[in-house]
Amino acid sequence: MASHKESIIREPLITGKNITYAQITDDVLRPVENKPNKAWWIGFTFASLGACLWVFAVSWTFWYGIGSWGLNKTVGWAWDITGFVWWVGIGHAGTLISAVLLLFRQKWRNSINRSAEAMTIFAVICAATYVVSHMGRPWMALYCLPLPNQYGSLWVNFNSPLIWDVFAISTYFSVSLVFWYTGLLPDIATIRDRGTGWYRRIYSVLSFGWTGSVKTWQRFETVSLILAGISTPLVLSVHTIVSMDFATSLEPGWHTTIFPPYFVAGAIFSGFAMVQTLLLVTRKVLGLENYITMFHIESMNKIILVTGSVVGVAYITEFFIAYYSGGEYEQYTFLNRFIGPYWWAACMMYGCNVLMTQVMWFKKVRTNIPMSWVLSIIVNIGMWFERFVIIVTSLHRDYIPSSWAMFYPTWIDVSVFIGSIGVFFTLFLLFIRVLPSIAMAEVKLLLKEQSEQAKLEEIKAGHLDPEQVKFYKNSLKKFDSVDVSVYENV
Amino acid sequence: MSSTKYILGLFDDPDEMMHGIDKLQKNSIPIYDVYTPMPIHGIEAKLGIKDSRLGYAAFMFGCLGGTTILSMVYYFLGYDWPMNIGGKIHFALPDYIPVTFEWSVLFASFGMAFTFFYSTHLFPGRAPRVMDLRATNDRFVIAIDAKGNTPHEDITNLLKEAGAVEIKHNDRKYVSYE
Amino acid sequence: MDSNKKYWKGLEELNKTPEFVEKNKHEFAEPIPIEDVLSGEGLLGKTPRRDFLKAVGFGVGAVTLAACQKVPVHKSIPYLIKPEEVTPGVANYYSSTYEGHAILVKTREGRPIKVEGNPNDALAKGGLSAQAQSSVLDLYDVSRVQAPMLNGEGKEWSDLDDYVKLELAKIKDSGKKITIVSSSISSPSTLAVIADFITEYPTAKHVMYDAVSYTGIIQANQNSFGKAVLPHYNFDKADVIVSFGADFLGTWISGEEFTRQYVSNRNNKSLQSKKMSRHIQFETGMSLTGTNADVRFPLKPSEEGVAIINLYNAITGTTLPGSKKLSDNAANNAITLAAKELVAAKGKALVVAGSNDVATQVLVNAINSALASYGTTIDLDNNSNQYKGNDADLAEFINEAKTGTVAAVIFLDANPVYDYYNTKEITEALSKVPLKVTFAASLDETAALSTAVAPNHHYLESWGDDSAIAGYYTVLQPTINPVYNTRQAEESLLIWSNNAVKTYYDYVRNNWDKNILALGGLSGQKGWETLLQTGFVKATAKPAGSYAFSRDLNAVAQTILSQSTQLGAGDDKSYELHLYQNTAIRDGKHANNPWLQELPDPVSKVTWDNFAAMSLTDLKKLNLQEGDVITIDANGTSIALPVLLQPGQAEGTISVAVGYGRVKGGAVIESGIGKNAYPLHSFRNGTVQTTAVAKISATGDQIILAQTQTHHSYEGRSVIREASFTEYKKNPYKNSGKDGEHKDYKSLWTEYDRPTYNWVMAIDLNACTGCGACVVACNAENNVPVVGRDEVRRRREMHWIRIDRYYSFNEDGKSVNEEHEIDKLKNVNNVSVVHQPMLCQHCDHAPCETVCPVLATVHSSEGLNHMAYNRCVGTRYCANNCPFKVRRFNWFNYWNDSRFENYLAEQHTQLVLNPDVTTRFRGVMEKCSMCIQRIQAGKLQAKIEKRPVKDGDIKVACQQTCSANAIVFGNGNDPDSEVSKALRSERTYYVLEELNVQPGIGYQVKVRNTTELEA
Repeated sequence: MASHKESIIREPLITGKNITYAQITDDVLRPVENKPNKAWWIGFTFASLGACLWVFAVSWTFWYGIGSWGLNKTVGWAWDITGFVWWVGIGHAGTLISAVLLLFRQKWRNSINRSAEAMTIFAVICAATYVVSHMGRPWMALYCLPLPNQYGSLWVNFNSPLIWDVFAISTYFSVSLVFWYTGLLPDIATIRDRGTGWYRRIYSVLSFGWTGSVKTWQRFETVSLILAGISTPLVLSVHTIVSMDFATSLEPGWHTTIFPPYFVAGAIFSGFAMVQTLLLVTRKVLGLENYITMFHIESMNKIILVTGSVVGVAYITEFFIAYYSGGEYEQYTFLNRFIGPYWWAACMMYGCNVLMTQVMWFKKVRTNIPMSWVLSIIVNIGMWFERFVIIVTSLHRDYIPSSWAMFYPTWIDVSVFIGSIGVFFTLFLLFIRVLPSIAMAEVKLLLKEQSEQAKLEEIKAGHLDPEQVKFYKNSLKKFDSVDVSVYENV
Repeated sequence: MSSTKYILGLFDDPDEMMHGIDKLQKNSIPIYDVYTPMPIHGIEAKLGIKDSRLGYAAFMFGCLGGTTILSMVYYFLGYDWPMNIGGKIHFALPDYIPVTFEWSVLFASFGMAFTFFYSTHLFPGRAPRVMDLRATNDRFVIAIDAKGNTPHEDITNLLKEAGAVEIKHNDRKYVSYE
Repeated sequence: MDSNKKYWKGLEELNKTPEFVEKNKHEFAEPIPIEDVLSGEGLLGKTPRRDFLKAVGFGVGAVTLAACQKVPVHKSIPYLIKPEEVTPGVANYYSSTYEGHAILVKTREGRPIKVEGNPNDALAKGGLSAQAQSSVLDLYDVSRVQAPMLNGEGKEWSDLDDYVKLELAKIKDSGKKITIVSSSISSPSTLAVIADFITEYPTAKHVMYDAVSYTGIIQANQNSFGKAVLPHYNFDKADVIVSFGADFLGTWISGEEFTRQYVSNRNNKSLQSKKMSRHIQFETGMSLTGTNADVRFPLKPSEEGVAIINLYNAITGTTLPGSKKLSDNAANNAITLAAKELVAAKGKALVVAGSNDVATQVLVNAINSALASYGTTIDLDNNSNQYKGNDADLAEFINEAKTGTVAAVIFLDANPVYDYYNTKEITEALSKVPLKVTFAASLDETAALSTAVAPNHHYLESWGDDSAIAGYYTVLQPTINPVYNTRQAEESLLIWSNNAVKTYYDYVRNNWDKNILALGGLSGQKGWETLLQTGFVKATAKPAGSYAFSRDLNAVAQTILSQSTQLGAGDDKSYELHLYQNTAIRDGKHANNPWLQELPDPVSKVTWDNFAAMSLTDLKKLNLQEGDVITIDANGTSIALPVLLQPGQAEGTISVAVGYGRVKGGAVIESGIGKNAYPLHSFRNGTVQTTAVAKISATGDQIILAQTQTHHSYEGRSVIREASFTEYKKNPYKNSGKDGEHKDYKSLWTEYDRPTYNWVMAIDLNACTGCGACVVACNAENNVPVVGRDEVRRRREMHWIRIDRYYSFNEDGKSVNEEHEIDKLKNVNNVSVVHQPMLCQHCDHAPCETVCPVLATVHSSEGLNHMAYNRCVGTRYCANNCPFKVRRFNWFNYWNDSRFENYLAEQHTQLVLNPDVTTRFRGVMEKCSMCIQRIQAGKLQAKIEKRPVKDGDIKVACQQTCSANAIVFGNGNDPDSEVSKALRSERTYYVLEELNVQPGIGYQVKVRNTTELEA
């Protein structure tokens, strides 16, 4: 049917020969239905060790007090809020991929949105742990909720960005969870119908009794569309609000109106980097090259490049405004980033985020898997330093010179951070064991039109503009999962 | 009279399944339901299924959420215990926009999602009403209530012509899980 | 009328059948076989089901009941018979005296918790030093000697008395010497007691010496005018003050008194009348006084004498031998200039020198006499009693002891083993003295070598009196029963000298009835009671005579010169060492007091350590970093100390503070704080000299000094605003931001009104000397925890009020105060300093309030920024958002965490806590509350007296203790209140007012009396 033939010049989203619907199911469910391989075990061991470190470091903090961190009277936030913002930022990519790209009808999202959303949820969990653990009296954390209390009743301060945070983060987390799980239902049903015994029972419970009847699918699609519709402003709002923790304050270097867009861009930036980091490994380990193709990798690299440049512009704007404002404190703060004692942190920030990512203008880099992976790591590092510079470098020298001080992390600071990474990967590795890391139903949608084999058929069938065919063949060269030889004879 | 309750036409290709639906409808054979491993666009039109009204629900819930939080805040800071916070007025509206927005979204999404689960009878542990196990994998299944007076052979043939890879005459409505 | 109806359970009961009666005897219808069950076979045999159930039922019931028992509650017992003067929750104030200052002791439920200056005190008019403020803590110090000791073991007083009296009797017969070694005693009664003791034991002798000696001045006055006394200086009468290394605002003789006098010519009032004294300071190390000087010149010890000679020549026009130019040209000109100004201000001029060298002081006397200072700025007739020590006497005692002629020595308030310059000698000497008695309150270095320790009362437990200045008598009365089994030293002496008067109280009474009360026009019981309320008696002062100096100075000049050459005679490896007392620890007597140890040194902002202060040039020369440990080798001993970069330190010199490095006398001391610098002193020309030639060498170790401030320039920010006196006279608004360009910052919202009170504060940067007494006063008032050296290193000190100290450098007429410019400076000697007390500003648009998620900090209707500790969850957002960085976070549970030098882990010491202020738990934020408990108390008092709160009713702790009256607190709504007046001053500005946080504390521009010539 002509209706769903798409232009030949578009690159395929599924590669590999004679892929069938069954084939897709088998490929995606292989890790779920079989014993984990060695690679997984190694990864899981390290990750869970990290998680243990986290438990230890946080317990230590709770037992002895926040004093076991390196903070002082001048620098009241450092690695804690840095980590918090970093994780929240990373989380944003998931929602963005599943929601915004859905609205934009970017079909390539279908094969990565599942794991990206999972990543969102785990990242937000990590962020949330910081929210609690950075408190002086975490056992009083409930005071941050508007609950009736013995103070008669004393409510919370809705003027405080921290309260906005509480609402934003909790909303963001729960909405993402719903979005993610709704999307999972049909795939869980698939597992259920292929499984047997207790295995089937568990998934049967999880599947909510999904059948895949027409009406269900219709409502399902409406729900996903609307959820995407409201998640999009949500995801923007969340990092806007996070940025307001700083933007609404008085600190030079924090008190900056550009923060909301700048933070959101940064969030997407770091988020895609993290997705890249994870998927490049996952597709190898789980052998999903046919579904997460070079096209996906390059597309994500392009987004990283764009957002990276946006962030770069934001940096420049910041400096210009600091200079242009004429505010002496503002000016000093930004000067201090370079000539102050934390100049090296600033170098990491600007170097990793702006300079390094610029090499992605070259297709060779974008389509080179090892380089993409290294770059994605570099971006993650750079974005961590961005938050560190904004928080610590601004705080440590603000208005009253007599209070100027340095911040030195303790081993607890470090452990909590490394630990949170451990927690994240533990959760992610468990996820790819028990749930399909690719949205099967959505990928199946692509099989008939966007798959390489479909396009090959078309070419075989002929009556296509040879120019376009040639172009298409060239575009296939970069794919590591396509053998181009097939195309010579046709 | 055979004991067949339902006749299932299993297709391995959505387009051919659509053919099947056309054929059956041309022969005015009522289709009970269609089960597919993925959403098929345009099928609801064929089967004459009304558009979902979940959008309205979402909107309503959203409004509810917004008003709830805003009135809460008013009660807390404007009425129950007004305080001088940094010299700001008691009800500093601009400060409350973020939370209002968040709760609108929260209510909207949860309200809608749960309406969806409710209306489609989805909840944890519900016994799945599955007619064919491969319908969630790689089979596109047209289910026909056998109680129609059309002879079963005709239906079978029609489906065959439409390109069904397999035709089942089920004595039980659902594949039971025991 | 009760009914006589009979209710019955059944017919049996109604007609009392025998079996019913029988049954009715028992509780249960059938007997419970408890015994059978519990007795052996009962337990062995299988229990019937019903019994089992019964047992279980009983068991469960019993256990449940047992579980209802509360955990033991420690009940506090209320006063059964309430002492009439004590009302729980209401503070009583008793007048008493501390080091000659009339004070008020605040007691709650019978325990002293705070010391405050008596507003009528003749010396400081209510001002008190950090030491006085912290003294109340020593009362509860657990490391005090808690019972008399003989040869190191605890004894009863009777045993001790028997022993001592026996020994003394023996000595009396043998005719050997008895020596009472004490620090200066200005208490008439104590002196009388000692006199009586000496009459009882004729071989006894009283030797007074001071750890930091003023013998130089006393001897000089003896030589010059035949009066061996410390004169009483009147800085308030002086328009021009030239000081050669005399730290008269800090540690020199009577710091608090001099501060009051000095500031009276520089504060707002004086400026309003276009009058400001001029103060020129020549000194080696940067002293507190130096930081307040209008002009300050670094001067090597070796050149000090020369400088004074030059000054004398310039003033008198004569030429003493050996007047030569100073190495620093600026200093030279300054001397000539100073001479001019002094002469111009003849009769209103004052020259003082800190040196303990007789010759130098004689020359200074000559200068003062030439300036006609005697009778005006210097009063030799109503002399000071604060210091009387004579170094020679102690030296003589030691020599006698070494020869074995001294059989007994009694130490009263003296610790020579620690603070005598020659430790070896004194230990050796003491080893030859059979009977060594000390009245030490704690087991200090001397007590460790003593045979008998007769622990003295803390002054808050004692009766007594004092007389800091001739004709001014203050009374000392106890405010609590002795905390430990101690006895007042005077009483011990009375007993040992078999005095007719048995108790010291009677002795004091008699003494006052006989000699003192009359001076104040008082008499009898009535007079005594009045005295106990007023706290002092002031006799009409003798007329201060003018003394003419008439002695040949050539010899004097020679001595001075020879010393200078001695000091100067070092190769380039050697430095001139200058020993001083810092404002916090002074001579080390109170070294065991954690409040003082954590009080930052006003100049260096270093806590918990002493150090070697050196100039930038020298550090560069030796390429040393701040914190590098060097050994200082002088007078045959050497100590290792970390280096501190001290702007304004004379090049080629090192300054080291004494009072540190004590080894015995309490937990804090024994934690090891600093090094003892006393051994570096030397004995020259009959006095202990504070200068020496020192060799230094780097050890290669590094120590991080615990500083509360590590950035020392104010980066040209409007936080600090200064003007010169000439500018001020032209335009009082100068630099206050009010002349023309001052902006009126609009608010987005309608302001909240403050119906009755609007508590605000005014701080006069021109009055504040930066001494830091307010910090300790705040600690005592608000239960501010001590966090210890390590936490201070991590920049976590908890002080609610801090004093920011900024250096700015003057180069060719303009002030350089930005880091990057300072690095380029050629001459770093011309430093000017400004002190700025910084505490919560109680902003009307408080940034901290807006960001607190849980409403733990909100604004009151009286303009205060409240902090609700038990609501705080500790996000620290408020502290981050505070532009003044005055909020303090409890990083640990400082109140009882064994890991800190925290005296309050000790339950007993917690008695010092102010019950009106809660202690803060780990994880909550705290900050200055403007002493809200005092505000409430003041309002309550007014309410009881059915009147509105009067201005001055309420004084906050920091304000109360400030001798300079730099801090004014009050109701901003009242246009006539002192604070409103102060805030209306042209010099008033608000720190960071451009942020429109609308601070509640106004500062007044610092004015320096500098002429263009040197500015």
